[in-house]
Amino acid sequence: MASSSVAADMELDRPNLEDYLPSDSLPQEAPRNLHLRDLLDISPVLTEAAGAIVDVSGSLDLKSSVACFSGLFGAVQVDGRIISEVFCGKLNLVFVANHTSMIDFIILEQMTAFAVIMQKHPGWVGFIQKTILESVGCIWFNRNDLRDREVTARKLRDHVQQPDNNPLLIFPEGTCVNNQYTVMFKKGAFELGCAVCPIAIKYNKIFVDAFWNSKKQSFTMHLVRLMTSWAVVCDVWYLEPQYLREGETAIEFAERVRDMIAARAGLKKVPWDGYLKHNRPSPKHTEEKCALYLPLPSSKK
Amino acid sequence: MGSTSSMLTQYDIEEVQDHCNHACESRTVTVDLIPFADPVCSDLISSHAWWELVSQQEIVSLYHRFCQLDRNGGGFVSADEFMSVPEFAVNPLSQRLLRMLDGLNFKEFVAFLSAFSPHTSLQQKIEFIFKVNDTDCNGKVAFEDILSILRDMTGSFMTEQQRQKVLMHVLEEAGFTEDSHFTVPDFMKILGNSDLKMEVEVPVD
Repeated sequence: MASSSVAADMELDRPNLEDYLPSDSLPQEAPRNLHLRDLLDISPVLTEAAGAIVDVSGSLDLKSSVACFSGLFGAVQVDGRIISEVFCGKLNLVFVANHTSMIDFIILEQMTAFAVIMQKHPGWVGFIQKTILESVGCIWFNRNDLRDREVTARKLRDHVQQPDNNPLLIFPEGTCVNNQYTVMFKKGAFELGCAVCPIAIKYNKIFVDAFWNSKKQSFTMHLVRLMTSWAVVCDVWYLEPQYLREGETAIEFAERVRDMIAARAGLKKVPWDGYLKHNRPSPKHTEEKCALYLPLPSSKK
Repeated sequence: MGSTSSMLTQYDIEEVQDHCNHACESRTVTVDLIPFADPVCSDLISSHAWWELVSQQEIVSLYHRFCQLDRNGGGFVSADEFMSVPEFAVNPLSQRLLRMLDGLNFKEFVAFLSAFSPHTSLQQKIEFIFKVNDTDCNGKVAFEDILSILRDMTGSFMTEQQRQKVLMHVLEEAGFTEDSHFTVPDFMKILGNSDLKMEVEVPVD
């Protein structure tokens, strides 16, 4: 079971969402007739924009924007047939960010209340995750459970569809990476059928190295180091929302967003799969395997 | 905040209020600075009924916000700096608004936002909407202009053909054609009876 989950982790494919989720995700409302004044009245959208500019506290909850955009929904009848539904809103979106440290989430949370998809960690980190994050709406997953993927995918879809939920923040790299590189983005965040808002985070190394290697150092120690350092300085850039382009696959979309984030934060792109950090076969393991197949004198046993 | 002063004098505040009212009266958001001793300006102000579109406390509040946005302290907010506000960045009309907002100094910034004041008349709000539609700023809105706003708003939810069909249909229903050009009075007629509400509250401590 362990080896098959390693193989599954390392490949980018995942089960086809369409097999498990309903295809029709538009709201079912009775259409009403649309008029010219409905199309010209863009005041709600303009109000949202002005509200964002004016908001001094910076705590404007994005979910209010989502609810507002669901306003205009009607049908146009031509020759007795309903030819289209003018669907001006229901702005489904997710945020994706590169991932350097667990505190990425804490930093971003200062700006907007996000719901996050996260791996459950053991120990007191898990406790904090459970108590604090439950309130903002967190979707838990277990990386090593294959069937959990389908359940998680469905939860993600559902979450994004609900206008009352906090916007979803996904770290598509899947694991914390050194502050200098971005590794390949898992495509899951990019096939939810909604807009993706990239966020680029870059820590300033002068103050602290925020990179957390969970294999070498527990998060407690990492957090202690961060908290006792003089300051954590990082730049956060919210980039323009991106949509899946015609003829573009989810993987290409993921790569395109990764390009944007890497360019913005000045990070190098490497093609490594992030999970190699956790699941690279140890040299000892490889050696033993070789010994089975090659008629070498067994010096190490 | 670099070289910009973080304090507004009472004179500055009044100057901004004047600019704001003048800008609304003249129907365009002026890009040039009004010299503070402009006799024409003060004449205009004194010859019209005085009402505060933006209160003094609101101006102070907006100044704090402006300074917050103007991170490099250049005295104006660039498109990038506006786009760093996530709620603004995800707005479908952000690019359009950026064209009107890019490089505004504080006075112009307040004048722009005064369209969202509860004291601004319906006519002025409709004029603002007209300006957003009027892509090439020639005082006329054409089929293409409205279509392009529809495109911004609906994105990939509708195909281009669907958009055109819908727009054609509602235009014909209202007695216009694909070749019609709309002026501000046309917009007033179409939107004048609606319960259009376009207000933003400026948080004041």
